[in-house]
Amino acid sequence: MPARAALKHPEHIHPALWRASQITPARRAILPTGHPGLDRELLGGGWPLGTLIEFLPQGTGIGELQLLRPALAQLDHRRQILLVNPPYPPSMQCWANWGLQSCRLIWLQARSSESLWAVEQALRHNVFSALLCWAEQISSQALLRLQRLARRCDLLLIMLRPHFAVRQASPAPLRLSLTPTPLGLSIHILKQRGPTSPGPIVVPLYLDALDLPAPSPVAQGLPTGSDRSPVALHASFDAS
Amino acid sequence: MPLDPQALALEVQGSLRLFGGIRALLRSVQGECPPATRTGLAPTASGACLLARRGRGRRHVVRPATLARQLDALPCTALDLSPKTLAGLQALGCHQLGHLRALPRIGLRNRGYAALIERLDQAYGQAGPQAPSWLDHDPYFQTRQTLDYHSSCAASLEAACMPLITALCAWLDARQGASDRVEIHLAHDHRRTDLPSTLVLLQTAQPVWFAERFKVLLREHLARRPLHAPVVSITLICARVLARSPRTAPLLLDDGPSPLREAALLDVLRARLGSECLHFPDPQAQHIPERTDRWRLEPCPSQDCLPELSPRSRPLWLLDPVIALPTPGGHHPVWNGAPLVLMAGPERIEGGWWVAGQAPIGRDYFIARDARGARYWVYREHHAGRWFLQGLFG
Repeated sequence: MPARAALKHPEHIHPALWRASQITPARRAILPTGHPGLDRELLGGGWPLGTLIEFLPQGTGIGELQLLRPALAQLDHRRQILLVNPPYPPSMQCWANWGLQSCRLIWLQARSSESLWAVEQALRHNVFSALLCWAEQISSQALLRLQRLARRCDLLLIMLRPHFAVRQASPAPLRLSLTPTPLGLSIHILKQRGPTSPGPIVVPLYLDALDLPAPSPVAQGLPTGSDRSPVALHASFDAS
Repeated sequence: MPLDPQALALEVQGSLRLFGGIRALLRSVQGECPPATRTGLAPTASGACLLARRGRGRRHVVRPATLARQLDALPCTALDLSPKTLAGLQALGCHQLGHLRALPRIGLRNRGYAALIERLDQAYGQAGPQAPSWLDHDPYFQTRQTLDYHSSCAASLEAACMPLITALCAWLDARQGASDRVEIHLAHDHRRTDLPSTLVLLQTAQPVWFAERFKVLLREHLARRPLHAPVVSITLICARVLARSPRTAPLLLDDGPSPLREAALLDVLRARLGSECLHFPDPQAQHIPERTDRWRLEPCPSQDCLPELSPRSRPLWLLDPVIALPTPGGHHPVWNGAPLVLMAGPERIEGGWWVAGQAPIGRDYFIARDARGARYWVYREHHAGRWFLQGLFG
């Protein structure tokens, strides 16, 4: 029966309709993450734009921005990307290697209370395509305020907080805990609208980005002249 | 000929039909003007001016021949000449303009009355009117307001500055100008402090002419700056007036970024956080990692400022200064108490030996990882053999 089928999927009639037993369909724009494993687990299949997303990386420099690299490359090229209080100045060589024009990058250094004000201003003006903010201490009222402001814009808003905030409650609709693994990141979705994934998702980051060492000749079954690694060879050469 | 400074000349030839003829137009002009206004009507502007100033007789003529007749009857004093010139004309027996016109022009010109002849020609319509010389204002705006109350409260000062900013924007509108630098001097009560006034400088990256933009900047400045004493009066000075560069609005809906909004945001951020808070990329063509990145406080004017792509991976975060890594009992560096495993490398980067007074750089870069799997960019110096951590793969 076509009528019954329509009632089963009322979202086909109008996107604003859904059954009470369903998850609210995301009405926000979605930016695919570029990592199929992560896309499958995230509601809507990607990063929601205009939503406060919390990253809780276990330390700085574990690939927390590399995770965003495919998403940043898809953003509007005419708009800038703002980094607020990054831990170090970003390297332009890396930025260019990621295929992001360095001219689109601005970073801002401010005291922590002023940096939240700057984020609020940026959200009110809505001129950036992505905004990444590093914050050590942030109250949940401030997060709620930013989340409300973010709903009115269409930017990718990422708040990077220390890993100990995993245990604290937060009004951010999407929270991810990031842990390094030898090949990339292990991501645990702490919170999102709808069902959360049961276990961590492993996102490989370094397969193509890194010139991994050639497999050792022993593993390939080839004859070897020396059992020392190329690094050790080089070191002994230099010492001689 | 410059018209009388108290006169207002209207060119009405093109408006006759719209206003229903010359009489109706004249009536409506007289109705609009203050009661003591005297009107003159003539085919030439200077002729109309002369007729308007005459005490008795006809002031309104339409045909050039009538104008010439009426002007001939005017006394020479109507021309507003210097006493010496007037005395000279009296000596010649010229009491009316008609007498003057009857004299041979060459003779008058030789006697130094060339300017007078030109004025007469303009009045009679025998020469074209002089090109008007536009009033040239000094592009400078200053206005001052004394406050009824002494206040150091940011909100009340902001409210007090609003009329000044509105006046400035109206003045800018009249000139079709814009400004990128407005000074507001907040004068203090001299009995309360040694500091005579506090300067608030509203600066924008691009010239603006909207009161709202100045108001937002002023709000940030006042909120951020503590005042030492109550403010007695406010002076607003704008000495930099630039031409407007209005943007054409797009015909279709444009979802692109608005450069105006972006500039407004950057101005607001600078106003509160200081001009050195924002960093824009300015890459240098250098192959030594720490020398590639330069940051500037203004956006880079050229768009093609990409550094060259590197064939190897580069870390996002470069540490400055680099961190020396201990190598207890071996070749492998240790970071945070755990040994680093070298994953890739070496990549040799050398340079700097050609610069006098600079230590040559010779490094072998490796990508290392720790037990958790986090990656690091470390290098070993050629000569000393010491290990350093320079980058994190963020």
